[in-house]
Amino acid sequence: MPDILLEVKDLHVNFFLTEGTVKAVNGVSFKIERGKTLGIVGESGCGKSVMARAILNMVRPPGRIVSGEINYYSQPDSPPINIASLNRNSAQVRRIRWGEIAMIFQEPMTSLSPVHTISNQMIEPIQLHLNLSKQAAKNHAVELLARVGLPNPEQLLTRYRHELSGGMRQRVMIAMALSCNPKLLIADEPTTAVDVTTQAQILNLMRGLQDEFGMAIMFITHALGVIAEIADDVVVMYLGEEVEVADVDTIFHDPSHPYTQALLRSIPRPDMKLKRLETIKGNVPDPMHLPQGCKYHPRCRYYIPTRCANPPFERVSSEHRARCARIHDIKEQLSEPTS
Amino acid sequence: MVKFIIRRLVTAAVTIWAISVVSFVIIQLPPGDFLTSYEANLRQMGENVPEEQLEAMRERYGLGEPIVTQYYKWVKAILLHGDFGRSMESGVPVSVLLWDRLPLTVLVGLSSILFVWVVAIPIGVYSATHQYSLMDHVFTFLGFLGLAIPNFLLALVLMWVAWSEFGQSVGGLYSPEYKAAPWSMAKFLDLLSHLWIPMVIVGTSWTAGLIRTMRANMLDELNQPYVETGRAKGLREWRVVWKYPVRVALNPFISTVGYALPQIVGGVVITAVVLNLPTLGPLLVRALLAQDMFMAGAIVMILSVLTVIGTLISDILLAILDPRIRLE
Amino acid sequence: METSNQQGHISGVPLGPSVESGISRAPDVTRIDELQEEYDSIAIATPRQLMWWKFRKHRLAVFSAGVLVIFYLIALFADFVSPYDPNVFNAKYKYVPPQYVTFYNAKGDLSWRPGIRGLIRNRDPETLRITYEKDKSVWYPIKFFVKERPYKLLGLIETDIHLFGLGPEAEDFRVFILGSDRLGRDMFSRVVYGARISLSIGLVAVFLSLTLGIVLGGVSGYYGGTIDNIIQRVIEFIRSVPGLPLWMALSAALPVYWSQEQRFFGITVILSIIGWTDLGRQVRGRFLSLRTEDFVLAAKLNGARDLRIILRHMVPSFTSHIIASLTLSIPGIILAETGLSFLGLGLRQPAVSWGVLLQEAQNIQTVALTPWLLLPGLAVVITVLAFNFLGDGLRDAADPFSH
Repeated sequence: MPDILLEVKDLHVNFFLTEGTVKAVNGVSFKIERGKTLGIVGESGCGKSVMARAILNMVRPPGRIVSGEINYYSQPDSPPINIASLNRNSAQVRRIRWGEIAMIFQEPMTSLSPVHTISNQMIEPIQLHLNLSKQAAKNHAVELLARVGLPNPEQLLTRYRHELSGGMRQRVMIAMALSCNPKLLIADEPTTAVDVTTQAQILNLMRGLQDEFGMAIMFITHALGVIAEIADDVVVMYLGEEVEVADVDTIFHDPSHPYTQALLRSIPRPDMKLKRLETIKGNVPDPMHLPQGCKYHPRCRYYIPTRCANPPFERVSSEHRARCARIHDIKEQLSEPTS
Repeated sequence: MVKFIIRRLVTAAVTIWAISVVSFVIIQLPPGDFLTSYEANLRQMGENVPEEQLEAMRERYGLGEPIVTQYYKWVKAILLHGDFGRSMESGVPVSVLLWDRLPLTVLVGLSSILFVWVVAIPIGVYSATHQYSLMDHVFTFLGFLGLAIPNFLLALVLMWVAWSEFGQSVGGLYSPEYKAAPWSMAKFLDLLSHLWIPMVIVGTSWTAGLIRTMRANMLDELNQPYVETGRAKGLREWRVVWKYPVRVALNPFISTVGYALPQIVGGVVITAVVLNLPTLGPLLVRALLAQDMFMAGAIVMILSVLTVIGTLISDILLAILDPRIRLE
Repeated sequence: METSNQQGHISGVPLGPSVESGISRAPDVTRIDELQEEYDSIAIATPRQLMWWKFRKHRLAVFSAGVLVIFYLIALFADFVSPYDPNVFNAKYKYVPPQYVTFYNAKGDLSWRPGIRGLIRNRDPETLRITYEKDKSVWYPIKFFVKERPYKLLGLIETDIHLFGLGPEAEDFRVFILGSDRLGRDMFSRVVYGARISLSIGLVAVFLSLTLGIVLGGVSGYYGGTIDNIIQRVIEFIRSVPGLPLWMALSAALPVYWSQEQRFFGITVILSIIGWTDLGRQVRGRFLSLRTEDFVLAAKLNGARDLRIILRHMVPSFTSHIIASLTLSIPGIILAETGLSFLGLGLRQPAVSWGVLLQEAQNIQTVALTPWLLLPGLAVVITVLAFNFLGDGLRDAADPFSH
């Protein structure tokens, strides 16, 4: 029996715009185990960032959580708190934010306030959630900054964001996110805005910190390579739906959904012969006018009108599911030698 | 920071010099030699002007000498003796009339700016956080209306309403019984009870524009990730809004206030005429109508210098508030 | 359905690259086609068309444009619209309040044409003020297209027809739908005539500001360097001093012996001397960004003269922005003229502008007893509002490619 920390059940988040309703998250379900890392992959606009905000109940009008549950198990044996059912401004939600579930964002530059010192921004949540005195909070902040590998932490506290480099900013954000010992860290594309070397350092740091602090990580990215390095389980999302859920090995070595397969073909791999990388044809459709039936069908090479009307979320094996009507046909097709 | 302040001080000094030139030009603008008209004026009233006195004045103002000398004499008298010349209409030194009215002019101007701030910031924040709500539309419309109503018209209408609805006379800055009274707490309170009307009138037209500025700035900031960070930290919503985006949006707002200051000073002038306030505005109008140019030039200069100082202060304030400028 | 796909989609073939169809799978083909048409029409539309479409969506701006057109037509045909000469005194009818138009005639019967009641003059025995009372026994029908004082329509056609009036049957009784002033002049006629000056001063001054702004801003942005620096300092200087006292001082310095026309022109020049800075800054900014564009470089390499490059190539590329800013700067000028004239430093009697009319309402007693003298102010407010709304709409439309 796995030790579940967070369980998302059939989550729907809609944005009600004047031009129409956008179903940003459309019936997503997954579980995050305590201390493990869940990777969420998808192209931009697939709803992964909205889902991250929904977990903290931070979706703001015109967006709204329409239905579904977000059950958070603070302790292994404690009754769950359904975050989705709470008022988004209630004290209960505010206690969970940062105290239990912290979040770091894609743009370390703009995630920090331009007119407040690092100290001001770091001490704020520590005082709020840990009830420490200002001096104690400051000491805690210094410790954390040192832990994420930043030199001269005391001096750093007096700095402003524009005085730091991109990598330093993201480290500051990570230190800040860990300041209240969260049980879950949501990382929304934390390595997109930094260069490749820094990216590797940040991933190493996060892995090390996970071992030390024991928190679970929900890692959102569009880069499969990053997922391979850090995730235990993977959710592949497309247009607000999860199209494939499996552990990381299965996703990379035995993907069932045509979309996952296409994604994998579009990244370079050392174990493959040098040839032209594939791209997925077409673009992500206009969210206002989603395709009928299988959402992926306009871009799918295996599409058959008669069969793909309403693909089930089919179980491939015990912990492996894919939303495709033709999983088994495709498997056979792939095993045949291609021309 | 010190460099920034020095640079701004130099700019301000140059601006003030340019203002003195423009004011001097204003004094020289009307055709003819002002002393001649002054003399004619006095003669008309049956007074005889001794030739020595006229000669002394000619010497004092450098009449008949090159224009640059005249300017030099004029500036020198102001800088060394605070002597702005003599009001040709009343014969009283201009400086006496100026100092008499200057403090209240500054008071009305400052309180108007205060009013603009106190009203525009919260409403701008509300409008931005409640974008497209009913109240947002109402404030936007009121804003347009405030821009469209001339200050003096608003003053007249307010006076009329106060007069017809409450039977209250609202002109001036003091009730009759305090006009000549020495300063006391009661007189101060009486002043405050009169001050709000010019404050509101001058403020209204500018709050309108500044609400729009504040709202637009806020809308730019509200979707910034650092606001989300604040929210994700578990802060209360109002704390998130007031600590982060408001603070950032205030910076361009303060510089806008700097630009609005000249117009606010102008608004104070015209409103003061209608409300008959003991400020420089009515004095300027009277001087101009009587072509009493020494008086008028001095007032234009004082008002402009005050404005430049105000802008200077707001710039320095901005630099102190904004670390990005401070470190430049 | 399938055949509508140009790629020639073959249904039934289960696998392989030939099945790469897709778009034709949309369920509602007619709607998609319509969408496609819309996209196509957007794609081939000229910027001007795009702007027009976008502008049309701003209902308030379109409405304001309508209001302004009506106001300018009224100003143009002021002789025709106004029933009386705006400067003719009438000692018998001082301070008449606005008359109510009623369709009930003297006998109390409903009439098909509007009319007004007669007036009974009383004198308050204490204050000696004249007050008026409605005389219900008399009813003067308002007639349309009546013959009254002769005038030249648009300065060309001699005629004596006016939009409305009481006609010869009313003898010397008069219609004052907006009341009359202290000399018995008809406020409605005065407001209508006042529109001529108040509405044109905005346009003329803005035109002058524009010329100054384009020349100085253009020179500043096109050449850069020292000239730019000097012009920028001048702009900063003008912006840092309060405009109104300066306007006042300069207008007061206008020679007293100047004629009405000279004065009008003088005031206009003064307003634009101080008002061009905003436009100047904008033009400069545009020039700075355009200077490095390829089409400007191409013109330069072709040996075009500077003036030609500025006027033929650069100015047209930001005309729409300039028009929007022009519209937004007219209100300031109208308000400035109104303020100056109100203080007695702008235009003077017998010139009729809205500001001059408001001069009559300077003290609180007048306002309290004869509030209708403030009505020219309402005209100012409506005009300024309309220009602001219109300018807002134009500014949005000037960026046809946003959104």
